[in-house]
Amino acid sequence: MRKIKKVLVANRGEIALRIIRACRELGIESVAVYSDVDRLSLHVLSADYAFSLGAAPSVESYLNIEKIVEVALQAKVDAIHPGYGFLAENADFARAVEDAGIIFIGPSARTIELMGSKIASRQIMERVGVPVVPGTIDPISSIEEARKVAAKIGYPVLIKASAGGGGKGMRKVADEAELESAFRTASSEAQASFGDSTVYIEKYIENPRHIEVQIIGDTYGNVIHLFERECSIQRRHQKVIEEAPSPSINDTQRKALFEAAVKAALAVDYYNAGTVEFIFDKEGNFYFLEMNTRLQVEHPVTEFVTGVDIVKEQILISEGARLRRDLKNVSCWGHAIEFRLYAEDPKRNFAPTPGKISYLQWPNGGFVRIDEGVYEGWEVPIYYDPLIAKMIVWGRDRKEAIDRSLRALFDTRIEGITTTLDLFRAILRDQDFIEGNFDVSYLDKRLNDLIKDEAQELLPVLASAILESYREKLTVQDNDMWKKVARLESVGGCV
Amino acid sequence: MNLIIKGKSTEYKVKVERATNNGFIVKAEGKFYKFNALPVKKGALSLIDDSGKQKYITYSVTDNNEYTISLAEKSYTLCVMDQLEAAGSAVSSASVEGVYLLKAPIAGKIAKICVSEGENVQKGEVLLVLEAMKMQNEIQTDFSGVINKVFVKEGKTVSNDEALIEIKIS
Repeated sequence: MRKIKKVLVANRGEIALRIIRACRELGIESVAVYSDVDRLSLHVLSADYAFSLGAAPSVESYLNIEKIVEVALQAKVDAIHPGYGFLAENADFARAVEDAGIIFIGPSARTIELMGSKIASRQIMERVGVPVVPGTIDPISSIEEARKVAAKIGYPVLIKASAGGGGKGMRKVADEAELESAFRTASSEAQASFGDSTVYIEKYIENPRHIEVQIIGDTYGNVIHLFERECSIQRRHQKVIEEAPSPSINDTQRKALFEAAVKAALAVDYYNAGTVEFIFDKEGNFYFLEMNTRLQVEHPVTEFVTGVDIVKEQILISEGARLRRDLKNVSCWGHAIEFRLYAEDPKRNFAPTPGKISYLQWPNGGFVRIDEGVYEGWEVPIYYDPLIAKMIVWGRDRKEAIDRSLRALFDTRIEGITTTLDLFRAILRDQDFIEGNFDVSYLDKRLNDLIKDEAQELLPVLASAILESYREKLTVQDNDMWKKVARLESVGGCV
Repeated sequence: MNLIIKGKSTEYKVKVERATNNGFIVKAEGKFYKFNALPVKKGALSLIDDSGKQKYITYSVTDNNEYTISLAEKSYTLCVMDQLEAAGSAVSSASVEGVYLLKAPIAGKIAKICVSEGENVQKGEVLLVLEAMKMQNEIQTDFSGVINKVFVKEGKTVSNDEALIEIKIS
């Protein structure tokens, strides 16, 4: 056991603040790091210590392993929490931290490496009996072989480049007639893009649902699950709304899913918090997609339905603690939904909208949590992820969580930059969403309906009222009145 | 005050009149709206219409008069053109030592002059009508006083910031 007294948070924005808050509750000092444009970022203002990393571009700051380790040594921290993104799943970083004699709050470098490899992780999962998308990751060398494999797993299939990524060298094949030309183009594209023409075939899962399982393990080989999260509302393959529990699976599927997730984690000696991602097809079959070896953006959803503070558990596990016994008996109670507030314009294909936040009001009231990375007057920089905050709402059931989310959004205002707020308001009123009737294609299919302009009869009235007040010609006497009210209230009087 | 409000696909011509105590009457598209508006702080105001319906409005305004207005349910972006808006600033900058020089808030044509030299005027009184962007803009005085000098004649085209009328403030 090594007591952690000081933690460097190698991240920025809302997640850095989230981790700093956990440290503060544990009586641990926090060290923020920042790039030149982040000197006045909220995570810096919240930290006990702050050190400069360098210029704004991530490669020179938040991705600079050498510099971060140097700062950590200078600040004499016991541990580094990587958050998500940036260096969170970088095995070299985890190794560099450990080599410097500092605790890396996360799994081992070896585990990060194994799960970072598409091929290695798939082989491990197949070996321990976690379902993977049917197919083969052995290279397919000829069209005859491709035909045989495709017929065995059934159309439609996906031809993928072994060295691939980003959709390059990837072809969907609907039936055998398409196979030959798809096989050739995928191979040549793979050769052109990666210098390696090797391709493999797997079953194409049309418009699946994305459901993942939060797991947590200690360094003594104990792994538990903290239930699932439904994450099918996505844009550009990135999650926008997540919820727990999933509205679309039954308890039998749920049990099988949890068993698979724990099995997956045990297979790679996983410790600390992690997430096993699965896809569900229309028939309710699920397949291993990948494992995220870090804290997940949407972890608060799980925190709301379980009452577990995942970040605090991460720190305790890194100190060498065993999983607390009560964690093994955690139940899932009620329903939680998370909304990722992006500085993006859904009407312009989610183009980023950096800029100054001129007015900001977060919702209060019960069962609403804001994990924020910005404040009024802060200028959202152009260099980093457009996620500015997350709103998480809890209800006794899904309906109450939806109603409550709408109420919370009623009180939320962000001016100066365009955000995804209006999109959330529209989704929460959409019948398909309300009924839980969606998959990963939901936003692509429904976006235009959800963002369409509506007439607002009152616009001229609103504009006139604003213009008048903007000219500051209004209400000298009423402002005085207002001050008077405030004075009276402060001395307990009444008007 | 007359406004042109341009939304995505709509354009409104709006006439705004001040009533008492933060009250307004807005005429738009042939309809009248009566309401009371009170700023809460910079970027926010509360509006109550005459049925008692309250709306909390937040907004931001860019330099080119593009407004983003948020209600609890939705945000709207529109462009507001006010021929008089600049008048307010012209007033304050020009009022030196008891003399108020009214300048043209925007380029336009003098449609009507309502006062003559030597005449006493009260704050809020209409001094002239300036026609711009097909709108008749009544230009009022923010000060009571005596008309010292009228620099323009009816029918004259004036440019932005051109001196129109000088008033000795009483």
